[in-house]
Amino acid sequence: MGVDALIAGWELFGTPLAIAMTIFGCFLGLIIGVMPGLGPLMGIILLLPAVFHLPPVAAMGALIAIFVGGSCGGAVSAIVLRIPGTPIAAATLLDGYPMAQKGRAGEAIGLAISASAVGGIIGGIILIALAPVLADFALRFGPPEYFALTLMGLIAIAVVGREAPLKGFITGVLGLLIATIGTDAISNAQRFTFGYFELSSGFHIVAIVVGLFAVSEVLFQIRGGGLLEAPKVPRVRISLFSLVLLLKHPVNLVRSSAIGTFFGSLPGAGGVISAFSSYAVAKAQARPEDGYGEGAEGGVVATEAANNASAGGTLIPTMALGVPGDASAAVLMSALILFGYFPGPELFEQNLDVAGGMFLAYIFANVALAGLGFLMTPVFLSVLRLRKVHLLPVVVMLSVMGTFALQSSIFDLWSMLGFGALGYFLRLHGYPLAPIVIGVVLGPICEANFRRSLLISRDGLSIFWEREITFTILLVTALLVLWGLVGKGVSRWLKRQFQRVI
Amino acid sequence: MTRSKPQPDATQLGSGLPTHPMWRHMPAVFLTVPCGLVFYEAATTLTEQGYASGTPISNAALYPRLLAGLLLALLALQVVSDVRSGPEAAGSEPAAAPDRPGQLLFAALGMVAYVLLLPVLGFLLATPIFVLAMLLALGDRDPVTLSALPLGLTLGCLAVFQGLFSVNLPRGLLGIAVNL
Repeated sequence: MGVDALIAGWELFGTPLAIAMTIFGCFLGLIIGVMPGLGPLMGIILLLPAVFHLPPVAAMGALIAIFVGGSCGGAVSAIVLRIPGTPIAAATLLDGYPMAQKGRAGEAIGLAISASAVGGIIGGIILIALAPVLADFALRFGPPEYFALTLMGLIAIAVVGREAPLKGFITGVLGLLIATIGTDAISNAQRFTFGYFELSSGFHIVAIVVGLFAVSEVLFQIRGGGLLEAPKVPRVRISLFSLVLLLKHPVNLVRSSAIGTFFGSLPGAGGVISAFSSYAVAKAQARPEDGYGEGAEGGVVATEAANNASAGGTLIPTMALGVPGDASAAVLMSALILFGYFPGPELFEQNLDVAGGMFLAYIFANVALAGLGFLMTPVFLSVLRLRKVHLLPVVVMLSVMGTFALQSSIFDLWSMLGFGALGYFLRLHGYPLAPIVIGVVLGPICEANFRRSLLISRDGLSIFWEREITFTILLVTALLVLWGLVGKGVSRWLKRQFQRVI
Repeated sequence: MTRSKPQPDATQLGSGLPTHPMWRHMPAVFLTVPCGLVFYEAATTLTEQGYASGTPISNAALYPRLLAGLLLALLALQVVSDVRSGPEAAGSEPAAAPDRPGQLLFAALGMVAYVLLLPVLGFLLATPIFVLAMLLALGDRDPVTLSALPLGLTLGCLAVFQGLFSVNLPRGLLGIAVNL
């Protein structure tokens, strides 16, 4: 079925516009990934309003390519400046920066780019192989299973890898609540509009994500200070010799890509856990003389292959089940929905060409990543010299104009500012914002399937434990909730006991 | 063994909070407001329209009420957790305030003013003024940047959004526009 999708998808993807937009998206993703503080999510958000004027696959190609480019771009600043451009590049500096200090910055960047591209392609192959199979399996799902699945996706995002799961639960539920504003799709009731006509369709998802992430990020960058500082960036020349270096680590490359894809496919785990896990495995498998932590090539290969492969992994549940793995995937999913295509079995049943076009875009974006990375690294390094004071007005203007362009609505701009203030306030108190976006995206699906489940149930809520698949998913969800609430305490208790024994 | 107190880091989330103990509970207090609105709307408008009872299909208030109840319970848990963990808990470490709070305030108010003035002055007038004001507020004094960036950004946005995407940018009360 994966091959069928590729063949069907070529008709939509094999156009000059779609290919050009994918290359452009990859370029933009790399630039945004390089800049500390901005990441693939910010890139997707800033380009999102603009791509709605394109054909669906060209638009999705551009967004997916930003995801791919942005996942790799952070490595450049991690290696050169010891500042990861994105959180997912944090593991790369463990060996990338020591390599740069030894005068091997060019080799480290080349290695990071080539490992990212190969890791991404391996993740893409797994995506193409698994997503249609998973979607086929999901054909057995009814409303109770979908309700349970969306609930699990949301809770996993809140719990996995987070310091404050309770705060993640809170923002996730807040997202679900925000999604209820507007006309109820089932009963046509106007909910929580308070007489405002503009609210009858709810808040536009783009206004929400731009406000929460872009506007709040601008405020946080201003708060952080250093607006006029221009970092000193050394001149770096990339050599194709990095490709030869990469070939010295075939096992590490494939293993890290597989680990990255696996963690990427688990909602909530994502690139950071992928990168650190594959780094830990690579280090454990290495000989002491490999010198992990002191500039080992294998360290850069492991982290970069894993974090780009995790982008492919993230798309597996997003496309096959409609459960996004992280905030970037949630925005990609909402873009697909706004184009009129619903992720899940329906996408593979009725719009195989669109699914195939997205697969091709993902693979091609990784190929473009290698080409652009090697050719244009001097450009990306020059971007690092940009002062924040010049960058922030550009981000604000793109946010404002992009949000306005959607519906030529000033109300959307007020919504964007409102969510910006909310995002800033919540971030200031350590509340994660990603669950809000996931909640808003999954909200309508979650509610519709919850109410349909109750309707087809003969005995109220019992439908959720009478069906095997639903019960299993809800059991896993309950365990995740339990882990989120008491896991930290249990870990602390175990640590205390362990220390006492020692 | 003595444990050194962690140094405040301005880049960490949750840093820079005012020291008053109640400040930590502000999100919980703030987020009870939407919960209250949900229960209020369900008890008034939705009940009057007959959407707060009946089958799961007609009962549009059922799911939001469940969510609001759940959110209230989670907020209560969070407050209890904050109280139990004490003022030294993560996310409540009183840390350095922003370098220049005026810059932050000006940027925030500047964005509000821009959205307010956009329909009045129009895109072509409001945008360069806003970008120039923001650059000045953020401390840029380079005459080249101060002249080039406001103009360049305005023309760039005009070319992309109006020229490429055919978006009708606000013309303002004076009706100032450029046809591309």
